[in-house]
Amino acid sequence: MKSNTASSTNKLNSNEFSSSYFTIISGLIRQHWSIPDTVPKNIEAIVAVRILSNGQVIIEGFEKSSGNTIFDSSVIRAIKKSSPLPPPKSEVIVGIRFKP
Amino acid sequence: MKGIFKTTKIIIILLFFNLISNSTFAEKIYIDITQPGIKKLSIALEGFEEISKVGKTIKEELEFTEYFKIYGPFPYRGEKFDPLLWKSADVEIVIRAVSFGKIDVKVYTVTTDVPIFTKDYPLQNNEYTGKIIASDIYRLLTGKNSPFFNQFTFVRKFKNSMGIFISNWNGTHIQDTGIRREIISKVVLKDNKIFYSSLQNKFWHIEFFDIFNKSNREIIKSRNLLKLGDVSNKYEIIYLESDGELSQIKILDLSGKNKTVSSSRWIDASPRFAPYYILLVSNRVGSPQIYQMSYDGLSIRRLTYQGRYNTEPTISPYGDKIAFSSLSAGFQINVLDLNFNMQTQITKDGNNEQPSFCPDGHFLTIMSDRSGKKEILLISSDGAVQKSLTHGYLPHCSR
Repeated sequence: MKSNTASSTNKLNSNEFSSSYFTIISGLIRQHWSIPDTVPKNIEAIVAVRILSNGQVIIEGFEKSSGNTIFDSSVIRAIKKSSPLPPPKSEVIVGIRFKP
Repeated sequence: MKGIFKTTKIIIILLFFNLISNSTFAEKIYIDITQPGIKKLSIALEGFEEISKVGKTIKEELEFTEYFKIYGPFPYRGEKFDPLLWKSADVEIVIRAVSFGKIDVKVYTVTTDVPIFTKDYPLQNNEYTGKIIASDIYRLLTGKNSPFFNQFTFVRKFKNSMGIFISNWNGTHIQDTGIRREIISKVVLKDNKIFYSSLQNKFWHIEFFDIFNKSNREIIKSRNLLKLGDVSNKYEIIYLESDGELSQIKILDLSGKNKTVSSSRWIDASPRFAPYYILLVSNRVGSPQIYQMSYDGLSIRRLTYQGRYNTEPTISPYGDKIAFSSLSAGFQINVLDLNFNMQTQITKDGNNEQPSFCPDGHFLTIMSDRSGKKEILLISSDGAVQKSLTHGYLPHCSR
């Protein structure tokens, strides 16, 4: 966890942005995502987020709700806990698709 | 001076376009996040000071399922729910109760101040009201039917006899029915009646015991082996009768009307009612396997192909799954999804037998010797929850 936090203070170069950046932020958000065993396994939610150039994450809203309040709440918590993310080269809008 | 204005204007225009391109028209990229961590759902109870028995019951019932971690009860924190008060705590759901003339229950997630559930209950500070509220919350948070009103009947062995007992769903309230027989081979709980087959004075009997009236009634008696299989909602009884050569599956109603479904020289056993057919175990391919048979006994179809010894089937209330015990490194409980024909082993330690689907469709009671003695366990149909309830065997889960 510490190394992830440390990396978030360094801007990633342009090569990393295209491929590795999204792998890194997926991993970071996933670390903060946990769901109760009671949640069905065949649902998904898509959340649109804006990652500012300083790494702050703004949640724009659900593009697709799972229909399960607990699941939707868990993904919002995961995103909030992950902010700030490593700063991108420039502001970027990401659709994050969560699937158990 | 004019040049400076012109340069400033160009910079402003460039900044404007830069802003536009970075925000409104930025290309959206999609990423997938899968395989989340699994944890218990953290719930806080707030405002149950005046109805402590209700709060205690909700906490105990929900925690026993292993799906929830309950904090509190905490004192009522004012009329308006403030998610920020819970933000730093490890809490995801808050259940608030206000008791004034009625019990007003509201459920919140800590991401919004809008309740996801609101309902009024009669102002009764007792276990029953706690179970009703816990059931609603369980259904809300899991999408499944509540197990809290399940009960199960089971058998305990004494020095020279066996006795029948009945318990609430989590084994905390156990009653002795007082029934004692030399051998008890199967027990089925249906409403307020316990049906059972037993050996007493060299005769096999099928009887039922009325829990409310504490009265016992014999339905059938024979020197042949009689083993109860199942009881339908109309109190029809399906059972096995065997003289050592012929295995007969029969259906009997409480008026004594009898019908033979099948008669064979194979060893047929463990008949169960299913929505449109009968489940049974037969060795007609050389080893015990589970079959479905039509009510007239004319057509039969094999259901299990994995494992050399599959027995003791139980069907889920919706008829979509069967659970059974299968011999592989001891007896283990397997669940077969009939829609997808997918079989999953859900136990692994010791011998695990005698599965009985509970009416909620998610939990089962089983008998296990994993701890060194025969005890009854409550397990979930995915195997994730496995909880010891009490010592005994031959459990049958009902409502």
